[in-house]
Amino acid sequence: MKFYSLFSRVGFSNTYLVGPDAGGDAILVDPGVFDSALLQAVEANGLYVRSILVTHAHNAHINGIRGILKVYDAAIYASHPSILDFPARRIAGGEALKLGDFTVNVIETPGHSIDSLCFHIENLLFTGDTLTAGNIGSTRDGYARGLLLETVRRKILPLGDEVLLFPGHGPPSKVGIEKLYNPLLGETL
Amino acid sequence: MFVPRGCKERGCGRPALSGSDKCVVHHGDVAAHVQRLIAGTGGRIVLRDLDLTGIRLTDTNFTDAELTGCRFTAATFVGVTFRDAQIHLSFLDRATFEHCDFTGATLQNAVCAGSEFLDCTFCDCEVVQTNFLGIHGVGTSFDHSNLYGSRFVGSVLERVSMRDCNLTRAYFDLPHRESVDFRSSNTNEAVYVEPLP
Repeated sequence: MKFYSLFSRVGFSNTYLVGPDAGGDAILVDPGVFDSALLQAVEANGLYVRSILVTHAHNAHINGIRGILKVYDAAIYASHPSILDFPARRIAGGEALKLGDFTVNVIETPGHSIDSLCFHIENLLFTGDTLTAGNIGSTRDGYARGLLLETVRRKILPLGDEVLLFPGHGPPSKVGIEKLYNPLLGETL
Repeated sequence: MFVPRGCKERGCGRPALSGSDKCVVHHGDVAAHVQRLIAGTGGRIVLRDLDLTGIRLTDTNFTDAELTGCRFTAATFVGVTFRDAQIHLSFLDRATFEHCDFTGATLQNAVCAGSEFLDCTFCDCEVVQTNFLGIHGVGTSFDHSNLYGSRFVGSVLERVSMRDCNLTRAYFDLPHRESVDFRSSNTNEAVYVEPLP
């Protein structure tokens, strides 16, 4: 698997590029920006952006879609039927998407936003703003915070300690690391 | 990115080393195996997408090396020089670093969580978006480094110096940062994570 993490200074967010070793159809997760670094990562590796996965429709995670769709004929997968007025395939928790060489398991994780999803591809989990290293996503109120913590406890922590976490903001982590050191998860454990 | 594979030894749940079907416990000669992997990269050491969980390296020179997409979970590094090394998207969690020199190195999207750093030097480094959750740092210096977006939540730091550092978007939590020297660093730009009471 070819895998790249790209940082956007616009929304301080991470965009992830996943593609097969031999090149071909690739997946973009949360393209917050479409810049030369992302284009270089795609083209230099013989990849073609065929799918765009959106963890949630906040600007820092979708702003790059306009530019990407000018270059690549990509399908958008999200909780909504459209993203930035582009049609999207509406997906829900429990679905297993076959995208090129990869199977993407969709996990619904409401709390930070009602449309939040996580994407599980092989040993990688893309968490958007649901869970970041040592923190959780911001929430609107106490109910949403409780919902988010409960969702993380029920759906993410059981995935296995060695599952690698790639959040929408901040550095990567692992499920086992968050269990041990994320002070906010202690509220539910 | 490294691909996790299980050790072929019956009943063993540990990850196999790259280039082998055995883990660090069941491989006959781990040191020679690792040296072969390193030597195989030619002049400048470039390690990509390797799983080297649990290895031990002593007095090894990784100056100007590139480590990308690798896993060194639970590894031990003693007297290893990482000067000017480039470490990207690599997992060095639950590892032990003793007397290691990272001067001038770049760590980006690296995971060092749960690791122990004894008398290590990270001076003049680019340590960007690196995960230091739950580390135990003793006698370690990050002076004059850019720690942008790196996270030290849950870390225990003793005699640790972070003077003249960029702490923009660096995460700390209050209980564990009392013994850190932050002089000339922009602590007002850091983020302090606290659980709800």
